[in-house]
Amino acid sequence: MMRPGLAFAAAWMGLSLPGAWAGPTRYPLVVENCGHRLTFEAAPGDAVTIGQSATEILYALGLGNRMAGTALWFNDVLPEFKAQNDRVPRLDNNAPSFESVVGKRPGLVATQFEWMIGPQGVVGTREQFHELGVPTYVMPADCEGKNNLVGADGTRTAPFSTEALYKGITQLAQIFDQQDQGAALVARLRGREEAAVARAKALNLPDASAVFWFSSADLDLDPYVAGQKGIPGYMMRTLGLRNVVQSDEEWPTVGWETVARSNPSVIVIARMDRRRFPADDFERKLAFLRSDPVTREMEAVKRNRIVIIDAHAMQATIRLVDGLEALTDAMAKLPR
Amino acid sequence: MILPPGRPLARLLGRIVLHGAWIALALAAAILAGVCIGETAIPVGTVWRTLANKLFDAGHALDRIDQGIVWNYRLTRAIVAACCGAGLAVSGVILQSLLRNALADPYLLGISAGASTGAVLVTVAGVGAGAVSLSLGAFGGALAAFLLVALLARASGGGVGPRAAGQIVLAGIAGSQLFNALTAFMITRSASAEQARGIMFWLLGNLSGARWDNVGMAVPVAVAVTSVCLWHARALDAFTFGTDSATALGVPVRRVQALLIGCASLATAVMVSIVGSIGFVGLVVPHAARFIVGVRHVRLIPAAALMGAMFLIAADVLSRIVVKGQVLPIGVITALVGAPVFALILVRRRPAR
Amino acid sequence: MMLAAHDLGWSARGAPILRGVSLEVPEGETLGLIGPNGSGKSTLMRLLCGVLKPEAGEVRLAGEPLARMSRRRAAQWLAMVEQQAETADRITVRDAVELGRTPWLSPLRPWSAEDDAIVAEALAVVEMSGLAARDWATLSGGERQRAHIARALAQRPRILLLDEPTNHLDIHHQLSILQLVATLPVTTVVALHDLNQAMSCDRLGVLQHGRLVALGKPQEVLSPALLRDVFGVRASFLTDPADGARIIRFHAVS
Ligand SMILES: Nc1ncnc2c1ncn2[C@@H]1O[C@H](COP(=O)(O)OP(=O)(O)O)[C@@H](O)[C@H]1O
Ligand SMILES: [Mg+2]
Repeated sequence: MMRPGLAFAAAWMGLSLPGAWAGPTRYPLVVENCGHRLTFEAAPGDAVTIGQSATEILYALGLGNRMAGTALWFNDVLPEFKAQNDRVPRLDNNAPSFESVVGKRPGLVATQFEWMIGPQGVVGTREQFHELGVPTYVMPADCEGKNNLVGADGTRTAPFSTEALYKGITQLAQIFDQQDQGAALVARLRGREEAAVARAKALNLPDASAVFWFSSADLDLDPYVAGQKGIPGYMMRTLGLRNVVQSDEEWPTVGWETVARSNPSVIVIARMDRRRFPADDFERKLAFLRSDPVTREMEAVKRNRIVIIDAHAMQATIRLVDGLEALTDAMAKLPR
Repeated sequence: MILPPGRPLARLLGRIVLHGAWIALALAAAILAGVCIGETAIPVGTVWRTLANKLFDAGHALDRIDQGIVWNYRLTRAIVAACCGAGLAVSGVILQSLLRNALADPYLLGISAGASTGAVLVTVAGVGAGAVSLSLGAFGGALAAFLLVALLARASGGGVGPRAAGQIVLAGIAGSQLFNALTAFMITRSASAEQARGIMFWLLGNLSGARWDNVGMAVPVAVAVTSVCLWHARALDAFTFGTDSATALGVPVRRVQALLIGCASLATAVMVSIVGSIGFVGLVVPHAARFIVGVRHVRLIPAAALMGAMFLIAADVLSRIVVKGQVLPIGVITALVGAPVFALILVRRRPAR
Repeated sequence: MMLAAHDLGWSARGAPILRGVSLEVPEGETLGLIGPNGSGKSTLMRLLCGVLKPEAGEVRLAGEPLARMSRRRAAQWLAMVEQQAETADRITVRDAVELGRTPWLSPLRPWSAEDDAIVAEALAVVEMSGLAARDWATLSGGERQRAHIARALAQRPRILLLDEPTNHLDIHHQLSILQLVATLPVTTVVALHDLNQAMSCDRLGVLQHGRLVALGKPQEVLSPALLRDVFGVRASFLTDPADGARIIRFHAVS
């Protein structure tokens, strides 16, 4: 999905941005994170990450040698991080137990989701860790502008923006005294994002719209689609696509009747390794769209304007820009 | 006893035709209303023309998406809703009558608990690896739970006698608890809240997946369970004073109990596997029907079937229009509407003197 | 014989409740069953009408084994008024009595005017015609008992089994029910508590600890010795000057 040429160009653009080189971190460092104030006397070691996004961000910062464990995996690790990942013990593919995390005597626990570590954390609350002197860091993308105590997947009080992702990268880089790498990574991602947005804007599409279909509990049932304020909502908004789904929830269920009658120009379907529901398989999603007596009549299906994007690119991860680029490619193929 | 069957039988047939006709009309009207009202606004004219096209090959030119929605989504959904409502209500009548328990409902015998376990096994625990659908898993779980409860009831000395009904209820509670615990165990063992949510949403009842293949399943089941029960209406009446009294009145109690409870359970399991466990219909509608037509099953069963069908169609319509652009779980609506109605019945049902 | 029991035995969870009971009731007879609480009267009645399956022995109706008859045919022969039978359903008295027609009806043999007449007659016999439309829940214990008897009569049985039918009744209705039972052209087995009322039966059977310890004419059966051994009372026999009938007066054994 990621084309090396473009990535290189973006990286080069990133280099020229001001502040890309930020110098060494000065300790003691105080970080405000989702209502908690964290103080670091020195760069932490033996970090544990929960959630593939947090894990891969630390790898991208070259911190594999400072990590003592990972947990909550959705896909295989990105190929470029395989060497680092092979050296770090995997505590659990799903939620790790509190003791298995604490047992690593981690200098920091970084989590992608509040439902792992947070007020209703499956692993534990932040207070539980802090009482043992273990600092915790929650990716801002999951707690800033989002209330995780409301709604099944949490409810965003403010629309998502990649700024939250960049803030998380920057703060982690600062905590681990890797600010140069952090700034470079952010600049690289930002550059690619801006390039994709510029490309999409230049297409000047009159009324392009889209729907993101993540999965369904059963193939015929109402699908889980992306709401306005979540990450796909952000992707559509920045690229100038109208989301046909009105809900503010992260992944609301909306009937096919509503989706079909709103006749979006593009249908985005998620590809994932998970196989819990039949509709997790993107092939099954495609087959449904093409065989259901109603969806097969949709413009986007008839003209095969269906984009397959990795589910991870629909989350607050460093793969998000891959999704943006794939979507822009699809938009380029739309009729003017 | 001399049997002059000619005239009463003719009168009976006449009554069946007469009542059958208006019941069919009322059902058709309810289904039509369900087809006309939906998530999005489709003009009534389009609905008419779609039906004309499909039923009489009228050849109106119509938007294919609109036509597909009316014929393949809304009509199937309304028919399945009607069948589920009727099936659940009749099952509720049977269980309340046979078990002499006003609080009995079709899920009493562990069926919905078993269905959730089956669904969770398929989804969260990944049994079948995506090849087995949610509804198949639910159907398997429902049957497994019911068989377990039936065996337990038998082993605990069920059989006939006033204690038998109590034993069945207790076995049902034990079985439900067991299966609910299994479900909770599997859900807590799984990491992703998103999966658990998929199950919860489905468990609260969901008609969005109703298609023609489900109609082909739901209609025969609803018709069969209603007919079998209607055939046994007098036997059900005979349970008024308990199982011993029914035996003394010439009812083969064990056979009737096994047949009717088996029928109700099978029907409930089928409905649960199509639409999830929609609560309240099987509990409230029988009482509402009793309030209107009395306790005699000849009238109670058709009334409960009709009211259940209409209630579920109405609840389904509501679930689609209450929040715009989003469909609520129908179980939420049935409970929200059903609870106050039930309360009203309770208050108005106070002993006469 | 209209009704015959042969060496009946029944036990509950291993404990024998009834053992070796044999009796024969000829057509038209009224057989009274007496015995202390827990002696097995209700159990015997339930065996006789087929609600319970005997563990040993068999019941025959006019020579035919009850076990081999269908429930429906058995119910056309036999009606039973249980000691307690209650309902929480909102039914009327007429609804309850109409249940008696169950064994005669089927989906292909629907309710007819004849059934209406039978029900009306049964209600009249127990003097409940005026209460036909009343809610069951509003009836007194005695009224319920009479309605149950009407239900059994509506069943048009050849054999009527009554388990302590006079229990809740006032003295007027006690006497009228017993009189009615005596005049009905059906074979009757009736469990009774009041030994003086039992005197009016054609024959009496006495149960003690699940065994039939005596069977015969009331005057022969109700001897001072039996009353002492079975019921634990001393009895003196008086004669009613009005009609010369024998009356028993009971005293505690000192
Ligand atoms: N199903 C049963 N299980 C256990 N014991 C029973 C059962 N039915 C009756 N009994 C016992 O059998 C005895 C006889 O009961 P019953 O026939 O009701 O006596 P009666 O009618 O003469 O008072 C009593 O001791 C009673 O407790
Ligand atoms: Mg008794």
